[in-house]
This record gives sequence, C-alpha cells and structure tokens, in this order.
Amino acid sequence: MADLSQALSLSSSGLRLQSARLVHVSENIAHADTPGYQRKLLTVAQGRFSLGDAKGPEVGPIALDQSQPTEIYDPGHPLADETGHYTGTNVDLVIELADARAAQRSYDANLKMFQQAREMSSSLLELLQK
Amino acid sequence: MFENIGIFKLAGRAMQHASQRQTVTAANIANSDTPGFTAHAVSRFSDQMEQGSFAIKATRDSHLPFSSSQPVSAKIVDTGQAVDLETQMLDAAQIAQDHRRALSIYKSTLGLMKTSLGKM
Repeated sequence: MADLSQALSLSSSGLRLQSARLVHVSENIAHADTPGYQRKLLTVAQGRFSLGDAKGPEVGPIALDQSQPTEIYDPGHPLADETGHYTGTNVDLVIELADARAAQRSYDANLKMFQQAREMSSSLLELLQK
Repeated sequence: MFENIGIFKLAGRAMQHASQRQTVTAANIANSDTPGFTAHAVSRFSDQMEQGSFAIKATRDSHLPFSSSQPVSAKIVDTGQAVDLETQMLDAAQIAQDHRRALSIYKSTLGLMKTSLGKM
C-alpha cells in the first residue's frame, strides 16, 4: 500500500513536470512574433531515487535558448536598423509543436500509470469489503 | 491473521512485488525527460523466491511438500539504459496483470476458507 501511494506521488510529479513543459511551449508559441524574445526551455532537477523514499522529478530554473535569433527584413518596421532588418525570435514553430507532442505523450504515459496505481490500491481495498 | 497460511503469504508477496514494480516503473516514466536518468528495474519475483526458502512442516510421508520463500526484499537494479516509454508501458501492463492474478488467488483462497468454515 505504501508502495502504491508512492507510485501515485511519483506519477503526479511527472504530470506536473509535463504540464510545466507545456506552459513553456505555449509561452514560446505565443511569443513567436515578439521581437527580441528568447525561447524558454524547461530544465529538470532530478529527485533522488530509492525504493521507500523516491522523489519525483522537479521543475528546475528556466533556461533561455542561446541560439541565434532570426533577422527579419522589414524596412517599414519601427525597430528596423539602417539595413532594414530587425531582430526577431529564435522560436521555431516546428520544434515547439514537436515538443508539445512529446510532452503530451509523456503526460499520457504518466496519467496511465497514475490510473493503474489507483486501480491497484482500490482493488486491494475491496478485499476488506468481504 | 492469514499471514501464517502459505498461500496467503505467497499471494501477498506477489502483490507487494507488483506494487514495488509499479513504483519503479512510475519513477522511470516520470523521469523520462530527466537528463542522465537511466531506467531502473526490480529483480524478478522468481529470483526472490529462489533465495532463502522455508518448507511447510510435513508430519507424515503422505503430506504434499510445499515450500515458499521467506521475505527477501526486492532489489532494484539500474539497467544503465535510457528510459524507453514503450517498454515501460509494456511493463506496466504486465504489472497490472500480475497484481490482478495475485489478488484473484488471494480472493479465491479466502472463498475456499469461508466454504470450509461453512460460510457461503
């Protein structure tokens, strides 16, 4: 029973982590057209792992993607320099969408484990009903 | 109450083993995006059974032999491989099945006991 409640808490921390990842993805997509915006990345601080006292992964500090931002040519833009370019973002929508799909897949897997642990513990409790 | 009856003990151990595997698999899946994390696994139930055993007392030659294991705690091994979600989900299905099987054995033995006591 103690193992199962631990499994539940591990799965829920996995769920929390994946939803935090989705928050960053949606933030990046929402800012895809904000000039000068740097893509935010999720970092994971690993929890200690041992049976009996396992800690799930935790959301670490936000990291910024250091890759080069795109230079957009638009001479009429108020931020444009003398060559007619202004600094855009380093958000790549394809990467963000792929990240969102990966997060969803991971979320589903964690949810499945949560449901399974709950079913296992409730079937154990059913033993008491007889 | 029932711990001294071999089959209850065995079924209970099997259930406990399934729960431990569930915990380890949940940790693997939760940490699938953690850098540097490698998949962990619990030693197999049959391996636990083979180590350290005790036999039920047979006072006559006609008694059927039955041996069961003394609690040997599960060992967690670090596989050293990256977490593969597909394998983990497959493991999870196996765990659910094992747990259900152990629970069914426990329940049906309980029913057997009740029948033998005359309570239907």
